[in-house]
Amino acid sequence: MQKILETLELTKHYGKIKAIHKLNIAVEQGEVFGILGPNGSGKTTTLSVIMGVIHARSGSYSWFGNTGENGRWKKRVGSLIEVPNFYPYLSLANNLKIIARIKEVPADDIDRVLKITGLHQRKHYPYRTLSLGMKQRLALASVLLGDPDVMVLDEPTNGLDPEGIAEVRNIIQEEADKGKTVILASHILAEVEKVCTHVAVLKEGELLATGRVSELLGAEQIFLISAPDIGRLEEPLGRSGMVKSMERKGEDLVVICKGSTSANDLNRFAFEHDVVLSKLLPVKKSLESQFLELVR
Amino acid sequence: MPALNQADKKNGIMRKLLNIEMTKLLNYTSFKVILGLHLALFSLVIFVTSQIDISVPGFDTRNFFRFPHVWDYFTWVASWFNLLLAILIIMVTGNEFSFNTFRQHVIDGLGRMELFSGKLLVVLLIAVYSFILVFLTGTIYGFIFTLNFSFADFIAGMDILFVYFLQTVAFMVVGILLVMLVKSTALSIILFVLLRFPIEPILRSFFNQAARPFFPMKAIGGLTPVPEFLSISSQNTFETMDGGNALSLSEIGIIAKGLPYWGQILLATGYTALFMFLIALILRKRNL
Repeated sequence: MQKILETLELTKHYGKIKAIHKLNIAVEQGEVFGILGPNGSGKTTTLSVIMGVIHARSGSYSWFGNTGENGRWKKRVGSLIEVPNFYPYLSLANNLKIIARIKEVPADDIDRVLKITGLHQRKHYPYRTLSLGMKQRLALASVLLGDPDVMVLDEPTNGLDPEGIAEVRNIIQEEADKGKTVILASHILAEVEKVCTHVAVLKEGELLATGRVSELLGAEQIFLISAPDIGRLEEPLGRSGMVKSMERKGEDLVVICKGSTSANDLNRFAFEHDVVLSKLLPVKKSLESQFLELVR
Repeated sequence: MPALNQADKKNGIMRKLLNIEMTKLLNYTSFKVILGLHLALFSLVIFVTSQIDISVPGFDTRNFFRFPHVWDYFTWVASWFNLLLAILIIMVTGNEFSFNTFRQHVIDGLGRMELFSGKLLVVLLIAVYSFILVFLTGTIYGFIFTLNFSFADFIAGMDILFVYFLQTVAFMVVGILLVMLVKSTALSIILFVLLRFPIEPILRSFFNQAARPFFPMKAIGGLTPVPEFLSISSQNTFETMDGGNALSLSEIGIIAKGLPYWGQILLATGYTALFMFLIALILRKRNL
């Protein structure tokens, strides 16, 4: 598998604020790579540095194995960073024509991307007449222009209505299914969990964790169990190897299990120890709380 | 042949940049309005002054419309409207900052120096437009007003057209530099106007007479000097005792003596090159 993007000890400080600090991430071909972090964690700065608009203070990055700011690789990368930037007085078609020229992509592709993003009817309208959501869609259209191998998206669902959000996720999914690499920065955990295969979690410019989404997020199961004589179960459960930790909450026992443990296993275990459960409740740990745990 | 390929590639990039800039300009209403204003104002001033008929014995203002004086007069009038040309380039460059499109261009794959090259192409386009405008109107009026046409008179003094071209390029480069520094269209236009008067004149007043012509706005502005109204309209040269022209405006004391012609051109060219270097430096270093 080809390395698409690699950063090495990438650092950018704004005065005393460490926007990013010694960041090492690697994205391989075909991954949908999420960059997850709260506001101000350095997501946009990271993307701005790797797209060459902000100079890093130290460290380096390479695209397709090439270091340096040689722009040739950019023709293979479509990116939307922060907010859409277009000429308000130009029509959608003319705005995309400029980008097509820069990327040296044939202008016929403009109709295709406008159709994908549902803006084709507005083709000859000035950009300033678009609503916020439509502007975001046009930015996505410009990313898709020329069918790039890699898409870099910074909060692509910003300002979109629920329908738009679903559509954007579909577009990302479709591109990923075609084998395209996607780098997606987001502060919405659910978004990353839904569309990404890999994730890097940032906080205050530093990398907290990186890996597969399935391993990093949602690695544990939580159950709420209750029985008249629940106390008898506590000690054997602790030794069973199924449980990471337990907490007594009144009559209930909160059991945090390892990923492979199911409700069946717990029920059987209790029965085998002559305890009949009166309550067995799988608790979906909120993704937000999990995320907060990670960045804490 | 690699050398040829290199040239081809460069041509391709220039064509690409020109195409991009043209898309931005041709659909930009403010640009077209100001350009139209420039055309209309220049043409009107020329037309109106050509209709003035001052009949003082010995003086004939129609001489300004005859070869070769027409070039001096037309470039001087055209230079009044250089501000409009500077505003044009300040607007289109300022737009790139206010719309964040310089940043987007780099994200999409343009090099930072290509951003600059694109704007220099616009400068050249505007300068060529004003050059052609002055050349065409000058030729037309010259043919109408000149009594005895001679080709020698037609081309004599035409070199001021190229100096005027240099002046427009230089002022527009100053405009780009200002907008690079302050990133705001309105502020740049105000600074541009104030720099010519009174900021630079005030600064100049702190220096002695000899140093004053070396200031950039003075040096660039002085490229198209006030025509020698008295000697042109009277068609007379009264020699002074030391061989100078008695009706020369600087001799009379109406305008200050400047640098020699070539020195002025060299100085303005030097300033233009320096400002271009500074613009490139800012673009290379800055976070977009």
